[in-house]
Amino acid sequence: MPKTSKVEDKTNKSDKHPERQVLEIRDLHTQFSTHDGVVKAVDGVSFDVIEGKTVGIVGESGCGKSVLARSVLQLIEHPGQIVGGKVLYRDYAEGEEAASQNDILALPSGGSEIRSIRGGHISMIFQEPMSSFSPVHTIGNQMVEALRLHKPISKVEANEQAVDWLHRVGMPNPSERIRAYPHELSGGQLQRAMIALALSTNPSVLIADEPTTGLDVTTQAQILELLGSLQEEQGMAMMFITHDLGVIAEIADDVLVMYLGRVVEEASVTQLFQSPQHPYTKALFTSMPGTGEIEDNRLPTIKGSVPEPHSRPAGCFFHPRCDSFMSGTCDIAEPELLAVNGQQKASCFLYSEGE
Amino acid sequence: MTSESVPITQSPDPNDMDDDVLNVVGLKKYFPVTRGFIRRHTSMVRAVDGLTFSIKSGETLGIVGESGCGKTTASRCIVRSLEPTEGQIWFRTAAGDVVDLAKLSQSQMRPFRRDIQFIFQDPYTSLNPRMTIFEIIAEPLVVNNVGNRREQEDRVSSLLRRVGLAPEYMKRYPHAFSGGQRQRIGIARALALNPRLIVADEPVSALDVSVQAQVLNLMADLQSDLGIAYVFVAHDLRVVRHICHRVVVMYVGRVAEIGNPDDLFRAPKHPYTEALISSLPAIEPSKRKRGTMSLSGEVPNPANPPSGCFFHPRCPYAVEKCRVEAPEVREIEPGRFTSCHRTEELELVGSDD
Repeated sequence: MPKTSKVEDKTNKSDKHPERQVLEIRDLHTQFSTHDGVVKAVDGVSFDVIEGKTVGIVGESGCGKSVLARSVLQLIEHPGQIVGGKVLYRDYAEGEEAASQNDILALPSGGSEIRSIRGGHISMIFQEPMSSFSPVHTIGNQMVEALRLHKPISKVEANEQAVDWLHRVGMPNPSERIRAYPHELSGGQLQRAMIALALSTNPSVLIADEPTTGLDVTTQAQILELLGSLQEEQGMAMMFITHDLGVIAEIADDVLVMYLGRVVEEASVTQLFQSPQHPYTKALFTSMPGTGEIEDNRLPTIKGSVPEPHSRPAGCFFHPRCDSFMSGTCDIAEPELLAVNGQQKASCFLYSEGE
Repeated sequence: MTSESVPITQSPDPNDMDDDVLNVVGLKKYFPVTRGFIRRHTSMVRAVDGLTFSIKSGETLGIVGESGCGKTTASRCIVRSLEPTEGQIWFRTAAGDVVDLAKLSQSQMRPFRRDIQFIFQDPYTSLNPRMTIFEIIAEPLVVNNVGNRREQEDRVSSLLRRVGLAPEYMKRYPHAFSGGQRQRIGIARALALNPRLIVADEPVSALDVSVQAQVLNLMADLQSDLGIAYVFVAHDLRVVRHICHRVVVMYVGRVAEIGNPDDLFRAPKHPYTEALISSLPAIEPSKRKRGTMSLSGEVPNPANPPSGCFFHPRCPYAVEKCRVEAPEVREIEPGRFTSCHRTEELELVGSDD
């Protein structure tokens, strides 16, 4: 539960240099044409991914968080289509001055440039680690292949680096395990192998799409710990997609809350947990067991369910479920994402009235 | 009905069964590991290895643990969709008779099936996509010859209303419903024959938080209105703490600890419980746990468990005794059981959250 008392902020990391944006996502639109109509899965989302920091993207199923993550790497397949926006990537590897901005979305799909970015500069890990591995090749072969695709090194060197990475992610017996096939590893080990595969090319951004969902709490804690410490060593930026506010509390620096394709709130993790502003965010917090006072053993709930994405309500998409609904405003006009409290932004008419 | 031929026996101590719906004693389920072409039995996977607990009517008993701890196997043995290898499952019928379900044949089991229902984890695969909602919910009524078609329709519409869905939905098919609505349909079906016990295997883990809260509230309402007892199998400790009256913590087929959820959380009596609590994600960023993790390693293979206490290779407090001697489950306070040799010496840390 968000508390108002000031508490020691453990989330500040020591800043070596001023914040540098690795990715700038601007007005991204991704939509799907379905039989029921056009689904605007990502509908005008903008945010920055900062070097060495983690931006958490949280929302319920259907809010567009995974489509957002995949859009960044042009990984959208038919019938989906990225219809607008920019994903500006800046590579600081060659020094601050040399850093030029590339629009990833402008790169020809399937071309060599986008392929060198995918898995090289920007890596992605998934909820289901089997989707990152081929079942018919050993873990080692797949890591060596990925390494040699992005780095000019020999097979022997690549093999050494792969063993080293398996060791770093805490794989027991890495020089043995490198010869294992994916099915021979447990879920937690496969998750570790996937992280090793994704990070072995030293990417500047790691996109993690629900990487701990479905794991036991103990394994989840181990994986979050691992990702946090690897981030400190590598200085990579992370984009962390999850439905779990507890995971956000553990790992994020900044948070976007999404609902039906749009960002409804944007805040630092401390602000978000201390004083959530958007009614949807507030409701998400109170419906989590163990976060607030409970009357008669009943959890506070959000009424109704998430509407069908192809028929989003008029006005604010959340208004039919909102306890602060103002008739004549919320059901007519669409709220904008505006600053409400310093850096914190929310798209709600409760806050635009007074200004 | 075959109820006449059912061996009705008394549990070892009938007084203990007074308000117990279910009393599980020494439940074991072993799966043979077969090797090679002649399918030699080479070893046993001890999925559940001596589980003892009881549930009162109107009570929710949680079973928690990491995957592979045997919680799903245990829940399936209770409903006899798996045959227990050993042990007793005393069930108290509405008439007050006490029956050992473990001893019944499948046909003798039939009359008791209406009293014990199951709710599944995945609301997408647990409903037959070719059946209408009416057919799904009325199926237990049809199978048990309860009422004619009109009565069944009335029953289904009242059940739908009971779980918060409109009765008009009964002509639709499952694909038209969201995950939370499907889970409500699964609950309505489980309620159709007025069960006394519902075994729910991870009923909310596939749902979004806002929907999860709705389903948990529904389950709590049904319990207070109808006095149903739940066996609630889950891995989410916060959900378990919210809904359960008592919790069994399992590790590799055995009981690590039993207690009421607040006691377990505030003052765990088994190092494994402590480790599970410390692994929970923080509820706010100022309480981040990074760097404080104590539990390493993975759940051992139940076909080849460690010696002594199964938890000793991962336990930060393990001593020689733990490596050698398998601990018994002991009652250390009324209603509080643990299977740790060193409970009394250890000061385990819980959580106030």
